[in-house]
Amino acid sequence: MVLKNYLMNFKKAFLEEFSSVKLAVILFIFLAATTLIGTILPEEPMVGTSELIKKYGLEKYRLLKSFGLTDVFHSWWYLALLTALGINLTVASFRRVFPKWRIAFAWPVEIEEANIKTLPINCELSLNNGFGLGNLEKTLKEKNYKTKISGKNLLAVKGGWHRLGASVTHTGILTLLIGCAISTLTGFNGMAQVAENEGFYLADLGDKSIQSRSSEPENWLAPVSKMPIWLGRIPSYLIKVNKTWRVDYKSGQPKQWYSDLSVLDQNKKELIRKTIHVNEPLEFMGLDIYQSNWGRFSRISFNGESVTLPLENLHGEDVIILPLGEDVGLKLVPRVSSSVPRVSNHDSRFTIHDSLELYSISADSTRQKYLGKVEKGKKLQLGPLSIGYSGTQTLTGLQFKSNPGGVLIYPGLFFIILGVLIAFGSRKQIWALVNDSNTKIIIGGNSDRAKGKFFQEFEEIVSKL
Amino acid sequence: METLQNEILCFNISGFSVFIAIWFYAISWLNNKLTLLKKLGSFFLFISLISLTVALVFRGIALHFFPLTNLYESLVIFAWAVIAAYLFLEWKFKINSFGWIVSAFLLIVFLYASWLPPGQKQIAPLIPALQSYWRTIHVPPLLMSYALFLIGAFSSIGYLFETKFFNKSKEGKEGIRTTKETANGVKINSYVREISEKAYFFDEVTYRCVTFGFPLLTIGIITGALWANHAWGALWQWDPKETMALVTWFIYAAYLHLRLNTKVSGSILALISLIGIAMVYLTYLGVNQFNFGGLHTYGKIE
Ligand code: HEM
Repeated sequence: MVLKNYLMNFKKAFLEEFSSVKLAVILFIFLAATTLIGTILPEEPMVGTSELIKKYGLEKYRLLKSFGLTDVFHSWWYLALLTALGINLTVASFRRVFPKWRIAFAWPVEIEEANIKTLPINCELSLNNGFGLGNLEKTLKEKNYKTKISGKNLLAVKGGWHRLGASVTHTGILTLLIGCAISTLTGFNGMAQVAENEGFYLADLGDKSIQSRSSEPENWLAPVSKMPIWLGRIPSYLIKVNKTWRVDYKSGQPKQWYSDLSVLDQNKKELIRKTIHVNEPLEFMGLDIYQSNWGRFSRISFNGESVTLPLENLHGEDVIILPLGEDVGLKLVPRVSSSVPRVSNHDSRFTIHDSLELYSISADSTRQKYLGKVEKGKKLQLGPLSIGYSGTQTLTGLQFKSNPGGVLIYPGLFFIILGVLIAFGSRKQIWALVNDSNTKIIIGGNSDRAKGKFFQEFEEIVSKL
Repeated sequence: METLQNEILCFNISGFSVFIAIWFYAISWLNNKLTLLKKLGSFFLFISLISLTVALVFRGIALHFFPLTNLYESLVIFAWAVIAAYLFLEWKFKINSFGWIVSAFLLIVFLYASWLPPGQKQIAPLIPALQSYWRTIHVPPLLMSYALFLIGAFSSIGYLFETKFFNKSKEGKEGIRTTKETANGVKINSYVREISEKAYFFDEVTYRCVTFGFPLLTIGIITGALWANHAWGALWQWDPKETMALVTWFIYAAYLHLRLNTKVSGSILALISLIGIAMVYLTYLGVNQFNFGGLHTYGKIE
């Protein structure tokens, strides 16, 4: 019994607390403040751990990390604030917001003379020469009010749709939050840099045994990131790049990157084929594949660990710059010693970079020091570092994702927009009644929103009578 | 690439009209019997709006695209939005008492835009990530919402001056009943909260601006997310510009919800609106000026 009472009280207190708008405002302010902090401080997932350690020093970095200040948006307290907002929103929506639907269409309740006189705006008109509620009704109708006369009472109302706005917005936010939760639990995403005529299995990114054979002996597949899936499984599709190319502006700046892709099933049967470019993804059965970048990459190994690095254009030369410290770095230059005739300047598929030159560079001088040269497929020992080179090739950067919560996220976003648009407006109500001695009409009005405009209208109506 | 002569001419006409409008508005503000001057002020703002529109059309033709590719164009459209929002509110809610502030502010925007280094003003082709019709859906609602929040903030300042900031003695607990007589002799009682009619007006203007601006901000943030999803495959990446917009959104959501409670003092609401505009500034320009980093660095001045 005691426990039951206790639980009942707890439930009551919980609902009370979490249906309060005050809590919502406090959460908004806290979220604003913490989001601002997260914006100003560099975030670990964005800039990388080493950058942060460089900035703060190890000691301070560890301290900040323990408070979640190196990655505010994934810290437990930020998630806790969002969760509290979610609970607050759910409880408040059901207890306070949705029940107000009815108000949108209900007639005002008749009220007594004394109460009309306490309305935010009111006046008295004397009844003479045939003037009556009918005249008032006519004027109100001209102003688009809905009116109703019963006996000595007149009720008039205008607007009210906006009361639905809050419900629609809140429904939208709830739907959005549920959709985000589903996507976080069952979605996946990742990135891969792939060469022409090569492909990768979504489910087995990085597992070499099941990649499609490429025309090159070297395997170019370079998964950059992959998000784990927590529920469900990743479909066994093979994504194949049939062709990839780039189109430039006359000035030589890139205009667009293209990749002609096929999605194949386990038996290598083509399910769909499409040429994608930036802003034009392939969409198939809940899987989306985007063009995210494009360029030439070199496959290099450092002490046996291989990485795929993009080439940058520095003073007209395609190079890779690896910073080694504050102001020293390594410059790697792929060299062409034999080449098949080129088709165009930027189509480097036919260029064979069969060696890599290494230079050390420093920020404060333009001088560079030649360190050595690695042939393709060979290694070079530089002090403690063994550098291997396996060639340079044009790769297309693909990003893929599956977002099952989308079916809720998109309608959620739609309802939020719809709701905030509807919420705009006001409900104006006017009461009038003839007093007991039939000498006067008492008129009063109220508006649930900005009152100034309504007062003006009220004055206009009364002046017209 | 070249910038167009015609466009510069229209831009200058627009800036000059704003400069004239300041004086007309200011004089009519000091002596509110001079309604003709006030009308002239509105007239010049209107001229400014028209010539700015023409300037944008010239630029759009040269670009073969909606002109929203760099900071300069963004500022020009922002100025356009401020003028349009102000003229609309002036027509609808008679807010002409801050015509001079709005025009003076516009002049600063014009000067800032023309001060930008030439590299920021050129008509230049877009990099692949920005070539999308989403851009024209995403940015204009945001700029319009910023413009409305800005006018709301001016009104909040008006409110705070009018109520002598937090001077409680003027904001007694009891409401004031005022009685007005219409031309035909009817006495209308109205109840004007606990503050003067003017303060009440300022409070309401801010509220109007927020109710117009909030949906636009929401649309801007959401279409931004949809665009990012389309282009990069992620709705939300916690990019500084995104998160700053979210901060702004939370602040104005707080404003709207606080406004539901009629007991909350107008000063607190005015203060929130001012915090809001500071956040708008950080979102619009601060993210790049203070180097928060991220993907939206296109408008950066090197
Ligand atoms: C988290 C807890 C929240 C609570 C407790 C809450 C509570 C409320 C309540 C009680 C109303 C008044 C409903 C009516 O009068 O019909 C309302 C209106 C509204 N809410 Fe919320 N809300 C919350 C979150 C949000 C969020 C995150 C948004 C985001 C946009 C939002 C947007 C709105 C809008 C646009 C209105 C209509 C405002 C107006 O009519 O002026 N609410 N909210």
